[in-house]
Amino acid sequence: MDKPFRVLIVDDDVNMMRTLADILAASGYIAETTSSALDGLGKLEANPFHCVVTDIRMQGMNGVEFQQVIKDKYGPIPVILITAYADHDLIVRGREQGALAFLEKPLNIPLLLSILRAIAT
Amino acid sequence: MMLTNRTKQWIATLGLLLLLLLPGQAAFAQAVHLRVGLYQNPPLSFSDDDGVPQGLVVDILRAVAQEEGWELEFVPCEWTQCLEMLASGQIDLMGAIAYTEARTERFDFNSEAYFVNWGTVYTRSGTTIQSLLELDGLTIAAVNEDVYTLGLQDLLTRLGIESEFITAQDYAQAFAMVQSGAVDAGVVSRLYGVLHEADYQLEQSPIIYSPTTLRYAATKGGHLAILATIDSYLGRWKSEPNSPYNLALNKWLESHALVWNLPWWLPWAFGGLLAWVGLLFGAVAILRARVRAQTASLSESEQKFRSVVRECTDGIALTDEQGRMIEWNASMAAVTGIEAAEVLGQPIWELQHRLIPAGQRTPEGLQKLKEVLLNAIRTGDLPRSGEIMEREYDHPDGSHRHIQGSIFPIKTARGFMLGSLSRDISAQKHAQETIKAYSEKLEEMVADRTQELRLAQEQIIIQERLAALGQVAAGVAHELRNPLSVISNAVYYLRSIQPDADAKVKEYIEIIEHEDWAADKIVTDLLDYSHLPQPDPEPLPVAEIIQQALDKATLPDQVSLSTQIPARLPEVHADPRMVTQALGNLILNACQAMPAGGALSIEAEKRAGKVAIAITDTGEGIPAANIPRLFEPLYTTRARGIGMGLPIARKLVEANGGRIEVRSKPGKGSTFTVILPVSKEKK
Repeated sequence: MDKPFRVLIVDDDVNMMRTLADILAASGYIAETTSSALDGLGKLEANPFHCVVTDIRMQGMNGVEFQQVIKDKYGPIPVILITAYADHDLIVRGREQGALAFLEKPLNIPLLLSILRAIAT
Repeated sequence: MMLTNRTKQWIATLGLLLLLLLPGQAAFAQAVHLRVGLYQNPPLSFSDDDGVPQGLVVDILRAVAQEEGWELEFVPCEWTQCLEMLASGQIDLMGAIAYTEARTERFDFNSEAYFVNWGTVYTRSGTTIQSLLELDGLTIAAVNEDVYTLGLQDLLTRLGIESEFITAQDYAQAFAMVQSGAVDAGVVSRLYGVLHEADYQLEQSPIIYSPTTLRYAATKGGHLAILATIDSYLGRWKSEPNSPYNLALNKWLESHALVWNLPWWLPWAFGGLLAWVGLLFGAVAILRARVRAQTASLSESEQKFRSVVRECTDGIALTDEQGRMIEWNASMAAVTGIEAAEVLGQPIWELQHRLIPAGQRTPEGLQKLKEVLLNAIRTGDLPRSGEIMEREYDHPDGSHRHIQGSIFPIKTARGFMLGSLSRDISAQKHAQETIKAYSEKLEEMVADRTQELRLAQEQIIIQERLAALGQVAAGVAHELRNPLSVISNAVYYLRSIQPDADAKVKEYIEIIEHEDWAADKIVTDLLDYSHLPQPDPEPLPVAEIIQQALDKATLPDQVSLSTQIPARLPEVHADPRMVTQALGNLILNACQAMPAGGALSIEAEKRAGKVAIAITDTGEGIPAANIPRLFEPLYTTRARGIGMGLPIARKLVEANGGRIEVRSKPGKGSTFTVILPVSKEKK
């Protein structure tokens, strides 16, 4: 990675957000975290990100809606959807909107890192 | 010489006149010749041992004939023969004949009676007959057409007394028959009786009747002048003590103290007798009227009885007091197939015995039946009398019938009759059996349907439980998977930043990781079962999917593995993730069945156009009773696990058009076979 690869992590579970950020940081990524889609949009507005990892089920705007806004506002930023359990409709919609990957919790961390690695290179 | 017609007519007329006159001249010129019938009735009329006519009648007639110059020719004949000859003119005159109104139609009688006679009944000495009524049922010797025979018969008929009259040729034979005992009594004139009773040692009974006068009778219309002449002599001679009439009376009857005049008491006796007979006639008339009424009533009753018996749809049979069949109606013939003509007069026990199926008849049975029924006839006592009994019967038409019937004694004036009622209930029986069969079938159907409903209800309950489970699982999954994911993230992080941690730390990190995985497996199973995704089938090599399943499973060290997968096995058509998960669940289940270790074998083969993958363990096996519940969600016999592995496996396989079969021997192990459809396309 020539320049720092910035990953925005959005999840309403603080510990989830924190452990994932630590793992990515340990792997050389710059990870910023936020607990809601609206805050996430603020982060995106403030700084550019190479990838967004977002939970689907969240209070307020859900992950798939968030993905749609990112796509509309910031163009093709890769979005990885993660969820403990999501409606089938939401998953299908996320895929149709161009989500890069869909990962179920508990997360397969090696798989996530290999996807990020693939984006970064 | 030629005669003219006129001359011929004159000569003919003269000849005719001569012919008419000549007999009249002869009558005047010749003496009167009379043929007189003579039958044996001493002392009135008889032929003595030398064949000479004798008797009162003969003497009186001879005296008149002598006065008148008549020639008498006595013609011997029997009584009835004499009457016939007199009627036909073969004889002219007959004496010793009683005057009756009836006889005046056949004969002419003179007016003056020469003797009064009446009928008497004689019996053997010692027999005490006191009245006419006692003649009922007795045999009586009597002379045909004798006035006393006719008189007694008339009396008895009027009184309704039935006696049997035996014909005697004459009074002597009648007395001989009584004496010999051939008959009970004899009828003679009182004159003959008094004169001859001692000869036969007979006794006169108090029965006297039919007082009659004895006169002379002549052929009808032929001898009125002769009879008038006899009357003129008798009228005169009766008042002259020494007249031929009184001399003859003295000669023939005086010695027996018989006088021609009626004894003083006789009119009173006859009067009394007539009054008594009159009373009897009255009583008899009343009785007859009553009898007629009773007879009419009985006749009506009999007709009603006959109609009921004839029309009755039940078989009716009756015996007499000896047990012989006297009634067998058409319905009885139909029920038994035996016609009345065959059974009437037959003993009932033989018939009853005949109605028993051939195989059950024995001579001892017949004897016993006879004893029971004979006892019933004698005493009226019959076991199970009138009770309705059923029995099977082999009808002569070859059919097997069910008959319902009863037998019972009927009291009569002479003892007991037996009555029997029978009814063919074959159709009723058949209907009952049909209804019973239907009922049993219905019960079976209800039981089956109840079982189906029970299973359906259980399915509904399971579905409801699963629906509830799905809702709970979905909610729980989100809440539980987040912390599980955080734990797994933390474990990953710790392991990545401390690659050189000491062994104890690494061991505990592994423990945390394994338990985290186990907890997630529970949540995943619940989600998979309640929210099964649509399969996305594709052609799959069998060896590959087995290997993937084995890769995901972690076999315990104490479990050995063997696989047998033919090289040229067709590919299966299934969703790879779902089939792999199903096989993984079964492998896990097999391992859990062998906690102390064992052999796990996986074999695949082509079977009836499909592929069968058998996973066999050498574990404790499954009791037969538990096998049906193996695939119920949340059913488990193990200390760990929530019992979702097998239900999910089946659901996954079935979603891919396959099925799972289970065979197990307790103590030996179990085999779970996944049968999947073969792919029709080449990969």
